[in-house]
Amino acid sequence: MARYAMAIDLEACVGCAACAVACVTENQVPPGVTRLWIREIEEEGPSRPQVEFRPEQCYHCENPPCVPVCPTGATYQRQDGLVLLNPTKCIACGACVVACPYDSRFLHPDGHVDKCTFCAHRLEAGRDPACVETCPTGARVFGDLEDEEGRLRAALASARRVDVRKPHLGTEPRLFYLNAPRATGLGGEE
Amino acid sequence: MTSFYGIHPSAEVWHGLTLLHFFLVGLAGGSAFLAALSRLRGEGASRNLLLFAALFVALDLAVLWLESPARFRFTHVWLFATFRPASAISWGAWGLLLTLLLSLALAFRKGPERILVPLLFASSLVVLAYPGMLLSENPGRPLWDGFVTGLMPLTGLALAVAFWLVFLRGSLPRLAPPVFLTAGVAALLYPWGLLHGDAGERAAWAGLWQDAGLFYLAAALLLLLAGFFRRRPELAGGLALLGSTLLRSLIVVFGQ
Repeated sequence: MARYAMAIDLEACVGCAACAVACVTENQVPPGVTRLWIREIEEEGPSRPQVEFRPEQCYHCENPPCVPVCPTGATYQRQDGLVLLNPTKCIACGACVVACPYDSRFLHPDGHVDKCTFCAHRLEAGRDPACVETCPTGARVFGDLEDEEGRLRAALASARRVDVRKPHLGTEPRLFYLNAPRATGLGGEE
Repeated sequence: MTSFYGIHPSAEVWHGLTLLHFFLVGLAGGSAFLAALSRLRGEGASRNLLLFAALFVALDLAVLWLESPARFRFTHVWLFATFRPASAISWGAWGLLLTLLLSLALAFRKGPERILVPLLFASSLVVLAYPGMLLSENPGRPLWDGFVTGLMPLTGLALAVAFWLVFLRGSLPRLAPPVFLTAGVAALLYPWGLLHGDAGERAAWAGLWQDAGLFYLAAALLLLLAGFFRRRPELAGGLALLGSTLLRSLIVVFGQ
């Protein structure tokens, strides 16, 4: 069974937000909400300011806190690791929105919770998620963590540094940030 | 400096009506608990208390339905098509439903009291406890630490006792002072615990203190003060009602 994950090379990301636009188009995300956004963190570096463009979205955690809190089973985790949501079972109680430590979920105007799905519908057709396909610098890599010869494992192995957000929470995000500009890792609140 | 391209989805999904829910669920659970306790001790609980418990549950369920963006999709039926032990809301939904049915059955003398009263006692405990469980199960919300699991039922019980004193004028003054004092002391211990916690907990408390610290302090002091007005139960009830409501609301709003 595949174990899907994504990596984003922060050295290659230029913050153009093409991924965010592709996500909106592919998933028909309505105005006012978004499944993917770019955090821009500007901090003082040793000699000059450092800027980190960090795309953020659902991390499809290995231990997702959003799944057990769901009272109806609308939010669930597939065997391939994708954390998905069945809108027809969602009562929009907001428990999963609050449970997500990364604020990756939101209330869709249609009255259910929504979030990134790693473009599950495209994966079924053998295609990459829209954000991966559209990235002009190739900063995003998607693949199967179980595939030792795959491009994802290769990207992880060749990275100078690999980080995940809020590792102390034990959620084990399945979106890895490669080559953070700061020597100590991700900027901001991390 | 941090800025965003695109709209960062706000995590603040619980607003005014949700605060009303946290108020009503405390009143409902507390009233049902007092009624069940009274009957278990052979004191014969006031029928009014049972009816108010049922009314508060009904109002609470109505508020939950009203505030839900899914209210016209009628997906709430899924809540009662399953029971998910890891979900506090699942416990709460079943606890509220059982409390409503048991309170009404006891108020109208339908069914064996020997069985119904212990069941109401158990379901009222669930209703009192589940808001705290719901908040404390979120690892990314440091203000809602494990202490909230105890603080929410305490303030819920204080709400019900206060309501009793102000509006029903029952014979509960013996119970009232210890409940109010315990809730007040717990409210003061809560920030003390946060300040001795990790960096996230200290930052969460600092945020609350900066924006509403005086309100929080006032809420805790109102509860403490209520515990000392033994000869003026209505005044004590009023202070505790205000203190408990404020405390619960602040914890919910600033924890998100």
